[in-house]
Amino acid sequence: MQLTHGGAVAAALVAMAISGPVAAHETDQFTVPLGKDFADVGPELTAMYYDGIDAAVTTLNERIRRALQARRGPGYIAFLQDPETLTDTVYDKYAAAWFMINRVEHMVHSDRAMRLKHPGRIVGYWESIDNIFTGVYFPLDPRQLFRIFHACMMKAYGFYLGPDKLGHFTDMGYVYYTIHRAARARGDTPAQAHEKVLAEGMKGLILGEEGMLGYLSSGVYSNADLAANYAGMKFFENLTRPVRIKGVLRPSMTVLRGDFWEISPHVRRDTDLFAWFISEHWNEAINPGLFVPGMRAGVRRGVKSRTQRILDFYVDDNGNRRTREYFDARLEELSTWYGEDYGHQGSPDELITIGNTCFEAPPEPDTGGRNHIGYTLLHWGAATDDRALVLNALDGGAPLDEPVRSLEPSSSEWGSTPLHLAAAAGHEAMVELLLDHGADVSLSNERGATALHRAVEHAGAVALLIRAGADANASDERGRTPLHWAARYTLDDSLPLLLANGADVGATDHAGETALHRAALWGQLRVMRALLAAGADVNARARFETTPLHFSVRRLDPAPALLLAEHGATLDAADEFGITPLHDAARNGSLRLTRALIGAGADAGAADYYGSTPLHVAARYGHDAVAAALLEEGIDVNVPNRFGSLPLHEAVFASRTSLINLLMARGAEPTARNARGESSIDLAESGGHSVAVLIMKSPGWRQSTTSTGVQ
Amino acid sequence: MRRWRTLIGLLIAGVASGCTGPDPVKAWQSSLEQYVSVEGHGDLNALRRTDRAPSENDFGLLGASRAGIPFIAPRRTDANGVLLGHRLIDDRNWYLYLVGMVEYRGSFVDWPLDDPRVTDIRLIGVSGTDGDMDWRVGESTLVALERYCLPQRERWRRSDPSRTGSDDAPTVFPTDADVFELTVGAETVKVIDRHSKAEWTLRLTEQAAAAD
Repeated sequence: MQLTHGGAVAAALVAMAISGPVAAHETDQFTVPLGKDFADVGPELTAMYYDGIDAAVTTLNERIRRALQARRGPGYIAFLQDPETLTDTVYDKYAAAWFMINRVEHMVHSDRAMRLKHPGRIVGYWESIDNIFTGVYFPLDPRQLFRIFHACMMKAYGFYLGPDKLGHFTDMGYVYYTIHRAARARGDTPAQAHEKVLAEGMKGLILGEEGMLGYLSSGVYSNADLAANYAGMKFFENLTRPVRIKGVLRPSMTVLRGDFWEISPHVRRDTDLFAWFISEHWNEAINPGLFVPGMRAGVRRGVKSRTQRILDFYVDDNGNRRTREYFDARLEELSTWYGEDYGHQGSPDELITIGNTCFEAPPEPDTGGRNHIGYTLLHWGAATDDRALVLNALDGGAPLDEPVRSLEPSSSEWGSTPLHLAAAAGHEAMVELLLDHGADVSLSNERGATALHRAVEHAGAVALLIRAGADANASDERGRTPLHWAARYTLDDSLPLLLANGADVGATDHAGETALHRAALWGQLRVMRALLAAGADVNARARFETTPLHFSVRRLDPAPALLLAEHGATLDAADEFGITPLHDAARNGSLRLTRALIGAGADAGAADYYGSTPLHVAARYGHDAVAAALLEEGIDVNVPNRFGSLPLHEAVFASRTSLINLLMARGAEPTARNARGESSIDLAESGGHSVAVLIMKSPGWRQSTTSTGVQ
Repeated sequence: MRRWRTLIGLLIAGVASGCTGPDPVKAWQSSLEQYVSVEGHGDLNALRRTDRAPSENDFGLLGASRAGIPFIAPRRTDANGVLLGHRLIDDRNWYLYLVGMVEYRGSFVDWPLDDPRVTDIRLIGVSGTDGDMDWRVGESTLVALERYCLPQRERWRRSDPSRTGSDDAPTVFPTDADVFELTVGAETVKVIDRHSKAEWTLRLTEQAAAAD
């Protein structure tokens, strides 16, 4: 790509002048914190996008109702019922990109309520001065200034992203959608329309990554931004028609039923709606952008200097550093959007990736030398499956079981032997070679993990290690066996191997968790079935007296909970706090799960140690649909908890008018007082919730609702 | 000249006030009270959070205390609370936490995350039924703190042969290796970390706490 420097400078200055104090333009996901978990704001994003759809459907239906009443012409009504009108109306309900980005940036970076909601978690991470763009521009390059407009990093549905991606998803997604729509209307084939869409995102002077949104403003062609654009297009397409997303055909999010628009039943505020669209493609570190050549050396230095942070941040679910092969494979996988071209550019040599920057061969020829992450040549050869290198190192006298040691402040890899590294990467021939030379299968690294723990994702390596005498019940520093580790993954081969070779299905870690608890937590149905078939205790109690069923309800999908119920799980098992799985489902706002548990026989009126029922909990967290499902069971709405609060008190606290309506319609008593002597009406009055006061004070309310139904 | 003096005075005052931070334990307690009030509407069971595995419950406060000289040599202390259990003692339900204060030091960045040191660990109990919280805060015990940090320092020293001493070792709370065992007596609660053998004691009943 040819850039005219003067033009770039002028354009950048113009953009900065018109954009004002924008808080977020690019995200640095190589600069990461250590030792802290992120809050997952996925549900907040789902609520934001759902509310836009809901508002658009309400607006359009009102216009349709008025048009019908006024007997407007069929052409106008057909316009309101046109799918394109709905899509345009939904788009109108969302803030423009800059405002959307700033709103989310504020939510995750400076909103006190969000921080309070997620104590001890990072909601938005931002290094104020230092990032990988530091010192990479020519000193007089105005793009320097964009460095201070960096977005913070946040987490949604397990994926790390910057708020700038939401601007791309919404605004550029809509631009893509309209370009595609117009091209198709002009008679272009789907392939031609697709090409036009990508041309705008890639090469557009203002909106393209080779233009103002990329090279000209920040010097980077962001593949992650393009992926967010593309996912946004899918979102707008899916509003009114079925679309294949992540390999699954998703039904249309809205349907025209009779004269009016309806939101499809699978689209609700309490679902994982946004999770269908977000993916690891949006991560600027795992799916890096292409920097202009002059910046690459500086960015590479920045990434390399963060090696320890990066490798210890992007770890697997068992806490291990990933291999170079993993990062390279992800890069390859993310170069398309589930098989579709989204405009990704840059060969592995051109891109600055974790794989090609954070892993560096140890110094040669000294076999005792180590690289920056503590690998000797023998470790390096074992990790990269370099047979000749390993044999050379062994011939040179390198100790076979040499542990990884480094001067890093910390490393999850300390103490790992070459056998650990070969096993973790699934290099079967290398594992065999090391075992043939007498590698010790019993050695554990500083985290207590043996080579067998590290091998669990690779059945071939598991078989070799077991044959060499590896202990199937060795426990790591958390007391977890290879079976606990394997429970994270859908493994069709290594799990049966472990079970057939003496792995104890009832083994517990230091928190009292069995492998079944872990599999239930991750929703691994096949693993759960295998463990249950092998005799796992479906009601085993872990710390705080929690059962696998408590673990399974952390997920919105009811299938794991139902599987446990089929195998005899005690549905109303109360933990140390008196909390049942149904309380947790109600807190998480999962309607499907709530219905599944109730359908299986769970007690909808169970009280915890503080007397709160699932209805109290659903009302407290403002989950209307869940509360409605619980009320269908005919439970008493006027049962106070130990604080004297009724579900109505909770609904008033949560300021949920629809929920207050619902509870009042079921006979909730607005004058009942809690332990502080406050009635629900008092609470609404003191909170300035005038609508709630009106609902609760309105005489004859109950009679009107019983004749007309719940509104 | 007067303007310079005023400026220098303000700078000194600013630096001086930045050198010491508020008590992180008190800040943590206050944050927990706010959480129960706002998220739980007074119900302590809100503390049994659902954003982690059910057996891993915690309550932390990032930046419980900020001190040092901003931007030049800032210090931030996080208070990381690990929930140990919920016990009925003397007819009251107590939420029992082990809270570790971890200080981070840095320079030229707003949020230093490197070089953590555990500076204090306290056993804390909280109870309440009508919205008012009753607190019991255990004493700071240097012996327990040192014992808790020792395995981390040894691991750090082992990580490279050139590391002879372990005074520079970063330490954190909690760690994956922790195995906290809770023992409840008539008046006291005792916690032992099976891994490091560090132990903490807390008197919970009114009389016992008053006797202290």
